[in-house]
Amino acid sequence: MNLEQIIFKEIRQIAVETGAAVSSELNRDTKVFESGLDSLGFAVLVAKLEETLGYDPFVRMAEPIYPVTLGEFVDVYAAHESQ
Amino acid sequence: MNRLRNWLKSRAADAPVFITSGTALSSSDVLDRIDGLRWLRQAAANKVVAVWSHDPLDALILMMALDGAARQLLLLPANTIEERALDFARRSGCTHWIGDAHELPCCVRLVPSGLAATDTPDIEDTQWVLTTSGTTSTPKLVSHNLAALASTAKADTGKGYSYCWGLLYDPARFAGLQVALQALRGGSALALAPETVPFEEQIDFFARVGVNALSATPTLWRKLLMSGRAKYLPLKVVTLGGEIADQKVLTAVQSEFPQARVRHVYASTEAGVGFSVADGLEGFPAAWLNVPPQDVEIKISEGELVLRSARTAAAYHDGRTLRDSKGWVATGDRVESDGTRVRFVGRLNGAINVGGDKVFPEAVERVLMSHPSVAAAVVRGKKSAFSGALVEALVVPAPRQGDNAVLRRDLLEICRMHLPKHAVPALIRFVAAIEANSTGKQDRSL
Repeated sequence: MNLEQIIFKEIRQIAVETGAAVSSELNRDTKVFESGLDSLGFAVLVAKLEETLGYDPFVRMAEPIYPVTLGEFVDVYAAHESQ
Repeated sequence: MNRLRNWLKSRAADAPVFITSGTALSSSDVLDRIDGLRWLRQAAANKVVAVWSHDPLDALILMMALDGAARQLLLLPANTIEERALDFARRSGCTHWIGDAHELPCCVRLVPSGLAATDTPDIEDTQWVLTTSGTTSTPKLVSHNLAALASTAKADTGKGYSYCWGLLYDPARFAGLQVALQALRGGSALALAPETVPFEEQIDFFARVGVNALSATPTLWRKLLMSGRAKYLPLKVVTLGGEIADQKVLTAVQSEFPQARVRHVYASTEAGVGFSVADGLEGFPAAWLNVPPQDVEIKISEGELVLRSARTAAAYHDGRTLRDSKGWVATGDRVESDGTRVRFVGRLNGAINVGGDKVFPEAVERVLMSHPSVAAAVVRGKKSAFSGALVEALVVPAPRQGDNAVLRRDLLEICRMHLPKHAVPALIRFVAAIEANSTGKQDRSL
């Protein structure tokens, strides 16, 4: 699975666990907070991805980035992957 | 110290005071509503009264009417569960209540008697009793007088009319009350976000009505930055509070709102408003340990932040004093100084702050341990760049326990049943054993 697939899968998983309604269609243009996750769910997503992927790019980055769309979110992970 | 409604009298009659999605009340509108509550002031005279309303506007009007009439005013947040509300009411000696909540069985609901109301003389100093939040078995009641509560609310210097504050918090909570008092005292309008709509719509409402001053937790600020709507809010005043404000979020809000004055506020329901930091950096200058800023003395005592100021609450409501013999209040917050800067590290009692909501590890551990397949559990905070911290659980499964994946699901389910959302562990790790620290206690440190 590529990064995008891993991330979307994790979003759906969290939605199932927390009972959040996640839109059936997740794509790069979907806004993070329109995906069905609330701010707590989003924080949990980042923590779970750290378990799965082994890193948290938001901790790694020097300049803060707050992604608006899922595409931007995935790009943040891609940008910090190689470290 | 003038009564709340006296603050309004110095405004133009048509100056906007409260704005909701359905209505806008001017100064004279609000004063009319308060006048219409003369029966309430009479019925509540010198009594201990609870205000419990789901409508923030209703709650604020009631507070303004009852200040100076009731001997004590107990503020119950809208989302207080009935059991807790009863507990608070009993502990505070409440006899009467008013508001649009369903009912408060231990108290008499105040209603108009149908007789003509007479003016009752003002009580010198109504005590305002606030509740603290947190998942602990005994949330506390804290008493303040209005002077202390409003001490950092700056009076209007003539420019107040140019600000419109957005209220995201419940006005019955300390943080919400601070914003409301600032708007009232400062001659500014207060926009009350509609309650049950998503955050994004609340922001849209603020943008529509011209909110240019906003106080929120770092978690909510991050959410605002990610909502794509920050550009619609022409903010001149940005305040962060309720959680540790890390450098990243401070840098990000200043960069998103270059015209704004950004400050983070250290405050707690017990300590009152401590101090605010406006230099754009996290923590506060170590120099303040020697030279008190804003008439609050600050020191570090065994790693704990300790404050002394006329603004701190005199006591917990049950009379236990918050101050030591020299007037210092222990805040319960851990801090570390590097000589130049003092930074907040976390709560002394190990409470985990998840996006502004406090979680006590023991409460979560108890729920986990109630499952027969759990031999031991320890819960700790895990740092989150988005919510400050998340709840992480280490679980030692019972011998011959089967599939951990099934156990994980079961544990999450019982946690969801017994705990508020933010207290449910974000991560559950299964471990062979839990380390004990040198005192033999479970080691919660990382």
